[in-house]
Amino acid sequence: MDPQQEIRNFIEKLLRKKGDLGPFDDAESLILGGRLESIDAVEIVMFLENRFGLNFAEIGFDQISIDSINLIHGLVRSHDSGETAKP
Amino acid sequence: MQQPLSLPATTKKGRKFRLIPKFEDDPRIVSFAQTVVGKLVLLAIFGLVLSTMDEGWKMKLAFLSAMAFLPQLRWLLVLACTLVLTSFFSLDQGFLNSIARAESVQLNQLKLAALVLLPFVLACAAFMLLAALRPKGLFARRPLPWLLGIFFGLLLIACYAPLHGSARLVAWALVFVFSSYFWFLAYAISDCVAVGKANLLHQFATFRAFWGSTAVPIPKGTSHWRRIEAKTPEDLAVTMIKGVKLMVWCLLLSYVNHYYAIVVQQKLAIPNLEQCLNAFTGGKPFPMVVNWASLLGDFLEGLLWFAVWGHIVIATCRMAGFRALRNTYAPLSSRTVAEYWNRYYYYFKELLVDMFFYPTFVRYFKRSPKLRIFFATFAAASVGNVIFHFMRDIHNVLKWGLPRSIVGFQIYVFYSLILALGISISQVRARKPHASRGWLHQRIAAPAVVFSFYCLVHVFDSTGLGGLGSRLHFLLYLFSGR
Repeated sequence: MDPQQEIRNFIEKLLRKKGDLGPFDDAESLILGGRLESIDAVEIVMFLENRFGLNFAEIGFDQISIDSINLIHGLVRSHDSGETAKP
Repeated sequence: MQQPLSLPATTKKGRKFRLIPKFEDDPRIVSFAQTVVGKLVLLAIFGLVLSTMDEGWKMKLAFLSAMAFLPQLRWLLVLACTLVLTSFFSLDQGFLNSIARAESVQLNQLKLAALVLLPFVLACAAFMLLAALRPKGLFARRPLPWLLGIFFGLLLIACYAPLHGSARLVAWALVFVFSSYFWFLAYAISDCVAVGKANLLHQFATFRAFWGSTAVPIPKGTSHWRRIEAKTPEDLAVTMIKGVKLMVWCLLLSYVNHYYAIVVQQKLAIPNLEQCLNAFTGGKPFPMVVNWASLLGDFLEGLLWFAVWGHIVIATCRMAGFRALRNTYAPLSSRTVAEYWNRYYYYFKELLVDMFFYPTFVRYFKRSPKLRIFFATFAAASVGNVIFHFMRDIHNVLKWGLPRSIVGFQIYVFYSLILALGISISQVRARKPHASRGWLHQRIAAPAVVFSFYCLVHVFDSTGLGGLGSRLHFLLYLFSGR
């Protein structure tokens, strides 16, 4: 599956679990916009570590870097291409 | 969940009753708010309400008006307004005056600026530049331990070095100013590392911005500000409408707070919690029912006051063009201990999460998700929480000395441990899928349990002197009457 779609499915599942069935686009601010909380960011971190092998201890972590689908996808892409992702 | 700012609430079908309608969803109102007259109307309503609650309203309104019409100068105007309102730096002069008297030193603004504020500003700028120039360096990768080391080193010097006269005054002034701006600097350094450059004007603009802050940066650091800043005239109009709405809501809450205090303190003559604790430790406790009423009354009054304060801050921040989330958002509707913590003091929770939780979470116990969450939560809600409050109340060290201040913190350490345990359990439980529960559980039973938890731990929410034993005894007395 396309990583962006996979990330989207995961976020959709997280939102659904919270009872949030509203639409969202890939650029939308999810954490700073208030739809997801810190504990959800933890779920995203674990998902990215397990599914895409990201190591946040190495690259650094900031909520802003996973605030939207596009940002998360960018993080995964830069990891895949061997770049150092900026938090 | 925190209040969504830019998105419609879509979790419920049908229209939800609102005391203040969602004007920001009406395109005609948003269009009007983009015109000169529209902006003036919003500013006038905001100023009118602010004038009833804030003595510095004229200056704030003047700068907010400038920001509304000159959004391109927003950051500069925020910095200018902050500097004007805080007389160039926020510093508690009361304690400095007492040191000056004890050391027979003349304290004047010029001396303070030259010996304390200027070196502090230069040191902050140097830290930011260092982080930006060497993002992979030891300091940039773990700025918090370094900053804590410098702060506590400075504190030890102020406490134990054989300093006298001006040298002692300067040492303590540096400790106070550092503690006051510590978390602002920590966010600024993280931001410099993230973007690879140090825009000092933007960074210093976030230091205790004029809309108000405690030692907690509201709303966080520069990168957060950039992300929530209104980018278009429409964005700005929506943000300002939300600012006015929040201010009006805040006015209503302040009336509730006012009359609530009259009823509790004057009509019912319920003593406050401190009076109950003093009476208890003095061997003449109030009757059990009075202690319960006091605990409940004190807790709710504190909650109301805090919500009003936070709303003024966030409403002003929104009027400046930053779509910040509320600091307090319907905490009594929380169904879990973790949710309440998120809703009660959002930016403090964010600070602990950013500075302690995530750095711990991404490094330790990666193979055990539950242990990982527990450990990181304790690092934030307990260790971080205690460090934050110890630094916030650093003047206690001057009053009581370092050893006594540390021992005096035992009550707060206990409070933070209970809090961390409650939040950890709540977070781990939240990860498990639960069968959908009924209305009674969701709206009444769960919030009541959460409220009871926070109400009871409120007995230990103190950073003052006193023994943990007497607080535990008081708690026991609440249940047993003995």
